Amino acid sequence: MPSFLQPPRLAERLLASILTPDDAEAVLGDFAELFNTNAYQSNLQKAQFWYWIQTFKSAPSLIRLKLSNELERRMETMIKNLNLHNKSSLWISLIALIPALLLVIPGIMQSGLGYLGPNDALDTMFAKAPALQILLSPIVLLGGLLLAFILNLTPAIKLRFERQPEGLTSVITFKPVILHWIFVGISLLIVGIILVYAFFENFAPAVH
Amino acid sequence: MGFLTRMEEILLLTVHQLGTEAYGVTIKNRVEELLGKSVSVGAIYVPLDRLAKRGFLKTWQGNPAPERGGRRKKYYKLTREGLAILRETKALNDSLWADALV
Repeated sequence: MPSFLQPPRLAERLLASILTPDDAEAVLGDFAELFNTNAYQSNLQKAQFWYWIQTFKSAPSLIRLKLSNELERRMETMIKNLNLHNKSSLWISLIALIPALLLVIPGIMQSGLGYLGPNDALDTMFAKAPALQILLSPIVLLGGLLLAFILNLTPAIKLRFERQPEGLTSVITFKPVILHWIFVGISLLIVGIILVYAFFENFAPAVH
Repeated sequence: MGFLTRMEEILLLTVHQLGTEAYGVTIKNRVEELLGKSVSVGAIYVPLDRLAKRGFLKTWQGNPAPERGGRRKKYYKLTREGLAILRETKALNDSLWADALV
């Protein structure tokens, strides 16, 4: 069996850089095998030239292959992370946030976009069923926000205390649970909106 | 089950014809013979990968080969679904060509 001839190292490195580790072994092996066949059938210089030409001709396809495999890998990771979520917490949070969303969304649409429809619909709903006004009581509204915040923050972070020679150290781990973080963000955003609204409502100059 | 592109059809048939010797180099060489023109080495990997993901091909690694600098070959084999899609494609082609003026 003829001895193995090393293909151009730079071209090999270039190819390796546009391949995933999973694909690299088989693809670089195929390139090397074809290079050796060419080198023994013609000559080394021609085979080296062929290798470079093939590298450039193959690059677009191989980049496409890498991108599609990377995308798939990321999607798999995302789905795996979704399974880490505490699904009952997510549902309870969604329900707990309804009163706050009922208050904030029509408010934003009215004051920000000048669209009165949702606020009018809310007024009509409360006129027809006054008992539902309890949804906008501070206890239900702020309680719902607090519940959603706590239910989602607890599975999203891990707090650990370690005794070190220099004292007590705390370690916070942020877990990759996207939906829980979205709920934490929404809860904080709504609290922020309510606080800003309350501030302007209290300190706005009185109109007589 | 969907349709195959022309290249996918050629690759599935090639893998089927090559039997246990279907890997990158042999597939490329056979496709070049069939098409009568040269094909870049990289051009076959994207459709092969897609066919494997669709479940029409299964893959496995061979032993490290000295003529490849100690790298393993990635072998391809037609699955039952791959064979079924080839049969469906042939039936479709036959019916399309049946009434054609050739």
